[in-house]
Amino acid sequence: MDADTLKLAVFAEELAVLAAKTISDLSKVIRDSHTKDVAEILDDADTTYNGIIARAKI
Amino acid sequence: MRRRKIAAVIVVALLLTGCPKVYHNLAVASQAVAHSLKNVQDGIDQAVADGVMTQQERAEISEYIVNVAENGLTLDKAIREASKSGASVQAQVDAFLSAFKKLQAQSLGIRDGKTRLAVSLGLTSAETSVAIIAAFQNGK
Repeated sequence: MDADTLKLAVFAEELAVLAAKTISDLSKVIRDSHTKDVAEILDDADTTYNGIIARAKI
Repeated sequence: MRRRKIAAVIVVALLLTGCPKVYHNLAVASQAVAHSLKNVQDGIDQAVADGVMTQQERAEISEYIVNVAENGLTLDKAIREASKSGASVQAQVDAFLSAFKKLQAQSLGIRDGKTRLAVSLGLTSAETSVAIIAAFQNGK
């Protein structure tokens, strides 16, 4: 396997993990939403948005 | 006459229980978008670490991701207030949808096909939640 093929294989695997994580995260958000009120849900959303903004500046 | 009174009571009850549900759904949609957006960012950072995306490209797409996140924070603030006062969140919904569309357009310009695929995957999962926010916009 040459270096480019190996790089592609590694990235494909990471992509699959990312896809699984995305689905898992969304399932958790929907599942947890039944037991949380609007303020709690928005607190988590705000924390996530703020984390995204902070990381983008690194 | 009695039927009308019963009907009126049912309508009022539905309205009272229906309104908070709208804000609850909007909050869940925003939270789901936030998590999907974080995964998009993870994918981009992974692409940079793997050498399939440059720091320059990361900086360019990050600008649009941050724009969506900032509009998400503004939308969350509006939902929080509206859930108590019933104030309109229309302007914040419009701004959020506009920012998301710009991010989608920008993602199509990502040079590396694999990274474009990763970002597209994340944005597609976010789109389901964005559709809930857009439905709110269309329903008002």
